[in-house]
Amino acid sequence: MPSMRITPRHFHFFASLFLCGMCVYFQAFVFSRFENVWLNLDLITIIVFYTAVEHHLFGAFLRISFLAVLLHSISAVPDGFYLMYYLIVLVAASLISRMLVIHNLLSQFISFAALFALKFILLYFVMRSSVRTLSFIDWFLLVSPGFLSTTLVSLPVFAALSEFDRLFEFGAVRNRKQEIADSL
Amino acid sequence: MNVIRKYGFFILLAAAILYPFVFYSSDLAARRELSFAERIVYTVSRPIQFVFTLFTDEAHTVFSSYISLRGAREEALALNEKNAKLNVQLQMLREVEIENTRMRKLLNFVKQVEVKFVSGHVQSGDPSFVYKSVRLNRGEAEGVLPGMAVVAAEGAVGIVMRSKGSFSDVLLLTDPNSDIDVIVSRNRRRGVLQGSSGQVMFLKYSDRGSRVQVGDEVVTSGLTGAFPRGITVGHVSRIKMESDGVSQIVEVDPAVNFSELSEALILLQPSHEVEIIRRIGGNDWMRQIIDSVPVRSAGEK
Repeated sequence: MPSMRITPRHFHFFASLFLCGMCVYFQAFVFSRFENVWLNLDLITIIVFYTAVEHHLFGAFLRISFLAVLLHSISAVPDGFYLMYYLIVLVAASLISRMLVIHNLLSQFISFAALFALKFILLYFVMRSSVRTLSFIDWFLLVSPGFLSTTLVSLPVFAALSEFDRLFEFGAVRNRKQEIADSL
Repeated sequence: MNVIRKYGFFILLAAAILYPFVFYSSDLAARRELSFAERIVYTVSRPIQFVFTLFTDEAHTVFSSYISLRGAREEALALNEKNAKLNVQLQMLREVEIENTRMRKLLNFVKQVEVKFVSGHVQSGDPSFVYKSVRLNRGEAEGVLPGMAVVAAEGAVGIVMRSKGSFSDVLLLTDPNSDIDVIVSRNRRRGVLQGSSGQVMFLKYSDRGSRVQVGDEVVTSGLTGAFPRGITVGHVSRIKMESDGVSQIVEVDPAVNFSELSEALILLQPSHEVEIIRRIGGNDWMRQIIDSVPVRSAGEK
């Protein structure tokens, strides 16, 4: 019979779910109400990337699924988009982190920028299905302010999330070599 | 647990490769009722939403009170003057109404149904920043149902796409998934107004002979969907020819400034068409409306 005792790890899991929910609502209630497109800060994607890189695969998958479902219950984005995109982020970030050490700032920044750009490419093809006249240039001009501002704030947010993990004395950073050895 | 640890990554890798094919081959629809999983997640996260609702409502009250107090005297004087003018207009309109009623009786016109509505406060926007929807603090509890029209003082706002408990999500007219049947006020030409990725809308199915001009007012036709006829949707801002040289792209600026929208009215009386589709259409009823509008409008001149 497994023990039902709540460990710091469980507590950290639920606290991070709460944080994810807070960020979704913060984005919906605050950032999305600003007219200025430079304030279209996508905190949720930053959290997803951080979770995918720093947390264990199964726990990260649960958190990311929670985020995707919550976003679908709020947003008008076609059903399944967030689940698809976050799944790709989870797998890609996991793959990248197996090949590279992405705990230094530059590699985190570049990896995040690449995966965040992928979101807009995927969204472009979704958008094209309803707006046939939409050109890639127009799309790029529309989303680039949000892309740039989000990418710029990603590093301080990564640092804040790392601090949040430390609060719970939770060693979120995985031993990559050990995990590779486990999975092969 | 060991299986998940051992093969979890490969299962997710396979899902990440296959899922995009499934997603892009689907109809990429957005508007529907909450799924079972979404209901659970919504219920779990409801306290967080409650906190944000309280915070934004309070912030809105404080801000609007401050704005109201600034220049209140000047505003009161202006409103007094406006009130006097409106009183005179009202008296004139009463005469017109009496005459209108008499003429309708003479022509055996069907009595127009009075529109009931409930006002709602805008709480949040769409967290995707690309698609456009807002959440209002009125839901099923107040009789709000998916498919109902939402309007503001300046004109049409959008359509309720989902409703639950004490909130409803409204798909704005500028959203790419939005399609409504409209007419150009000046010459009564009909078309379908579709949202886009930006803040403008496109009037579809208007050929070169439709003689639409920049500045023309576009209003709801009242023929399909939940909007009664004659509600201002926007004004034509730009017209350009498509590469085929036959059809034209007509850009329409919305009458409502969606970024400043704080209050809206939900029209509680859905159209007869929406009611019928709601009865027979099941969960997919709204998509049936959307699918039917462009096809039907395209064939009509």
